[in-house]
Amino acid sequence: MVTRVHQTGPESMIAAPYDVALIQIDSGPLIEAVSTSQLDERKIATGEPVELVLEALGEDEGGEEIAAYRFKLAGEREEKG
Amino acid sequence: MSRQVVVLGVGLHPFGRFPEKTAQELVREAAIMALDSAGVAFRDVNLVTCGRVQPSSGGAFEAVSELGMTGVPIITTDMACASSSTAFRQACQAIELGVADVALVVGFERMERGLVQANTAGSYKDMMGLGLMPPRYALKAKAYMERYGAPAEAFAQVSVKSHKNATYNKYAHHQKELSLEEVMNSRMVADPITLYQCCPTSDGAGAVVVSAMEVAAQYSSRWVRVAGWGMGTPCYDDAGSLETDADLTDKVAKRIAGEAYERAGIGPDDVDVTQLHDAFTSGEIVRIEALGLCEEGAAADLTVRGETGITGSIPVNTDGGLLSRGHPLGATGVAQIAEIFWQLLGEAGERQVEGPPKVGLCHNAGGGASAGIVVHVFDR
Repeated sequence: MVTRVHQTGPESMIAAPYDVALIQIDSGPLIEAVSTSQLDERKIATGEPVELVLEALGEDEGGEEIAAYRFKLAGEREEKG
Repeated sequence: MSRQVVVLGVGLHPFGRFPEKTAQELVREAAIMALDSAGVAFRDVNLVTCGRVQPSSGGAFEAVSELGMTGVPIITTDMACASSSTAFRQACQAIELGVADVALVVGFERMERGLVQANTAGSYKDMMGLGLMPPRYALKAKAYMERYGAPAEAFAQVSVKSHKNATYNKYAHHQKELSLEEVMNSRMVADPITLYQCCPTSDGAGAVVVSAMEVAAQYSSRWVRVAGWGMGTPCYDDAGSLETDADLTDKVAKRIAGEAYERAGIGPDDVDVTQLHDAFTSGEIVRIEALGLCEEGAAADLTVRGETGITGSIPVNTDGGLLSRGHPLGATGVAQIAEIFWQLLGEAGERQVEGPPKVGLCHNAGGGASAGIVVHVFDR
């Protein structure tokens, strides 16, 4: 499931609105993650395969790059058994 | 053999916005009311436990010192939104063990407007826009809607009911009825949770006096018994799968409520009135089920049919809950206990559940996914 977040915290480097989903990793754990782009909810059903994306959000005060994990819909839809 | 504990008295300072008042003033009013209600003088109190979240080192000493300086030990607890329920448990344990006979539990908070920052300041989650409470509760709602086909209106109805209940509660932050349209059409915070489905940040204080049952008669003839309790945090076994669980905290609530029922020697069917942690509307729906008050998947429909209202078959958050009574973090747990005290003694006025009820339950959750859950069962 996905929720569109319209209000975020002051330290967020991702501007609202953005979409947050619960992602189940193949090895088991559930994590919250932000999608790389706004998703069309009608196309997102539980069980939809997604891919991990590492993305630069910006730089910290010392000029170090800050990267975050996000997700996008998997390029090819796989049938779930 | 541990001793029986009773709640002898309760007190609240109204919840709302009181920028002109200090924490001491809030606590003083609530504590004096609780002591008067219990027939207890502050000099008879052997232990003070205190729940509060927003940091001000030693704040509890200052807040309580206005009641008198009797040398009493004061313990402060931070368990996020479950702080004063935890402080209450600490006081009960001290009495059960014979370390104290009479204890005063206080909870207080003064809060800023806006989103509560649940993460450690500057954490990676903050930067990634994650770990915020509204999306977490929104995902609970989405999971529930997907699993049971519930409409978004069912969640909004929780807020409509809550606001109606709060119009009967002079201590509530929001004492104004809202229509389903007003709730649904308020600003979207995290789909499907709209602004009026989020609890406010509030200022407020509450206090509860507890004693050993064996000394209670010295002070008062009216009290409710602490019949059972459960307290804890998640464990790895609580984690589920995407298909079955949106958030493991409610599995934890189920486990911990089970412990409370077992200690009380009752089951969820015996509970007549409940105060639970409805920080956002979906919290109420999923926790009604986690506490076993109805079958899984039934809470949304029961809510829409009015069964969770004061005159319904499973009255929940009769005082307006976090959503409308308000949620001054450290004061919420004692406010829940105060409402159950009044309900069981038939002193809840216009929001009194018929009976009056014999068994009441409080569920308080702190800290998001790594949550501490505290459940207490009371009877008379």
